[in-house]
Amino acid sequence: MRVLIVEDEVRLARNVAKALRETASFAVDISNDGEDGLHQALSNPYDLIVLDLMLPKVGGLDILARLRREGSRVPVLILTARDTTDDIIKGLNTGSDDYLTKPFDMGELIARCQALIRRHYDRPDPVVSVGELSVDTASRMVTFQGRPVMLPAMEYRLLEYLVQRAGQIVTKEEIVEHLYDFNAENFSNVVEVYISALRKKLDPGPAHRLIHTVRGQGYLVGETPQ
Amino acid sequence: MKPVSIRLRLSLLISLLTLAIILVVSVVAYVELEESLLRNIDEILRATGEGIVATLDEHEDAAAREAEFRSIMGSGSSGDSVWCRIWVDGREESLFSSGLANHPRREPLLDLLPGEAPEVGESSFLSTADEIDRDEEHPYRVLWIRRVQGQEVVNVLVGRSSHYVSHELTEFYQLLLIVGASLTLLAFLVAPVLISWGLRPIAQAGAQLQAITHKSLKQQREPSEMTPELKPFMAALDDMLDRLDEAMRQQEQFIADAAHELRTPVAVIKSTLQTAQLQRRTVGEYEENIEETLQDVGRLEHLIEQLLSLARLETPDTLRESLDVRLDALLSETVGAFDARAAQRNGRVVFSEAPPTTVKGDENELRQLFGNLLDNALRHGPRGGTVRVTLANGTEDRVTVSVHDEGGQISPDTVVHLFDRFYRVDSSRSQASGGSGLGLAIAREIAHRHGGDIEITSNPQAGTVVSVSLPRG
Repeated sequence: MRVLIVEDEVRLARNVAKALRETASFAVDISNDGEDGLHQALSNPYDLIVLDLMLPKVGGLDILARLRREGSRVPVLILTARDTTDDIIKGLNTGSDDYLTKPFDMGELIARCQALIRRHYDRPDPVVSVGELSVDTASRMVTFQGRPVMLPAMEYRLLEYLVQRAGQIVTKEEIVEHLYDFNAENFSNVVEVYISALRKKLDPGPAHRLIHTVRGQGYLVGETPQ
Repeated sequence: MKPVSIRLRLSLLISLLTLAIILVVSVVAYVELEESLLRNIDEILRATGEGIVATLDEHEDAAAREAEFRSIMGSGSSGDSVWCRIWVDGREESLFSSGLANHPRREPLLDLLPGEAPEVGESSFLSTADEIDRDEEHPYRVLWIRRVQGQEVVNVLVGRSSHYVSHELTEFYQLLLIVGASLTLLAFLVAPVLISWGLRPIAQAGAQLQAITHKSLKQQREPSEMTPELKPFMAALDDMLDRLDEAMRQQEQFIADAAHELRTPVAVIKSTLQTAQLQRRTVGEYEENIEETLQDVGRLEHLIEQLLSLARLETPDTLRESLDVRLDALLSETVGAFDARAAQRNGRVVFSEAPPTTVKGDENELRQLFGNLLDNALRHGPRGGTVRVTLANGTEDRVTVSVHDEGGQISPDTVVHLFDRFYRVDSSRSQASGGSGLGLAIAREIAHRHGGDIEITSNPQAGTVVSVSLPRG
């Protein structure tokens, strides 16, 4: 999952990014001013945007209004020190999905972010099951055939994205866009390495396959016969 | 004492006014009626009197006169209600008399002559009504003519009962009393209703005003519904409410800004600490987190300091005590304190020596004022630039201190807002530049408290100049 944080308090943005990477395994981009934030939000397929309201150059509400006008469906969480009911109503009515006031609790922020992403993928249950595989997106616990499976961060990130979209064909471009922030080196062949690692750890046996390759299109998660 | 309501006051006033008008009208009507009734009698008396006088002139013979007198007295026009007596001055018996026998008081024309006799050759009307109580049972009115006839002075006295007049007048008087009293009472009863109706626009305006709360100060009242007299009053109230609303809006803005400014560093600190807590970190990471937290706490501390100092400065409005302050020495010292800061930015702060100058004021506040200005100049001026402080003995009674930096990109629209609390050139509240946004507000507050003023000019050629003018000590 890829998240954009638009926040001009450099240190705060960095802390939130760090927390989201560490506890939710999200790929996180940071933008420190409104103009850049709007540009990033419009050019990358984010799964969530954490938006401050008082920003240099372009205000948070303007960014939000612009995004919605352009038809963007990305979940937006407003994170601001403006705490009046009027502000909150205005923020939600401009098109945000959630509103959290500063100072905030990091755990709450992360939980809200995860809830918004679940809703975005239309999977309200934090535990996603595909056949014998079960992924708890809240605690990042993966169990396969009843046994817990420990996955490195990138592999978990890939698996979470694939199971959220279980039953759909996911292209390699989509994987790259949703799993890497813009600081990462995007070598699409690395995706294949992670896919094969996952296949090894999550092998349902010779008769079935969990992660399928759809030739020329991408990957598909779903326990179907080989 | 309980204040008397306007309604009661006006009711009483209207009632009194009504009473006064009724009184005047009554008196006039009464007098008119009396005069017209008396005029009737007087005309009969005059006609009879003239007839008698003409007879006196025409006939020498006593018997003929008598016959003529009788015919005059007996004529239908006068009737027996007219009395008559004719006599000559100095003689006891009358030349002629008529109707006196029928009179209940036999001698009305002899002994009860009301008033003085007229001059010889004159005539005058006399009335018992003028002299005697109106309730007298038999009031009458007489015409007394005195004229010279040959050698003698002949008196002709013609009289008539004025009982009818006094009766009429009494009735009219009673009528006036009843009608007058009723009208006054009616006025007193109807007046409150009319006054309520008259005061209704005020009551409505009052209801409108009552509906105003601190949240609806700016709601415009409907001017078309208002009576013209109230419009200026309500317009003035609207103006006042607008000013109040503006003041409240500023206050709310200030509180919102202050809340934002206070929350942001707290949010940063909390996020740093909670992120550090997420998992076990290296000592180096912890040290870094502590360092960052201390910086943010310092920033919070500075902000709280500035807020408190602003609150202190705003009340009271004027200086509690004001002493002579050597401005040149104070500036030199303040500039010295900023040397190190300037050097960090490869710049410098210069104070051009000035002659001894004294102002009246609070030394600490003035130091804070110029400290804030220098702090701003260093913060917003270009790196490596020079900040110049000059002290000019502008006029007789004022001195001007200018702080000049080599910046100069502040647009005129922005300059007017620079003294607003929490105003930052960038709409962002980011404290990357480190200022609290209160420095200039505090500086202006201090300048005003000292009876001075502060202004900023900025253009790309000359840079930015902040000038403080203070009254000379």
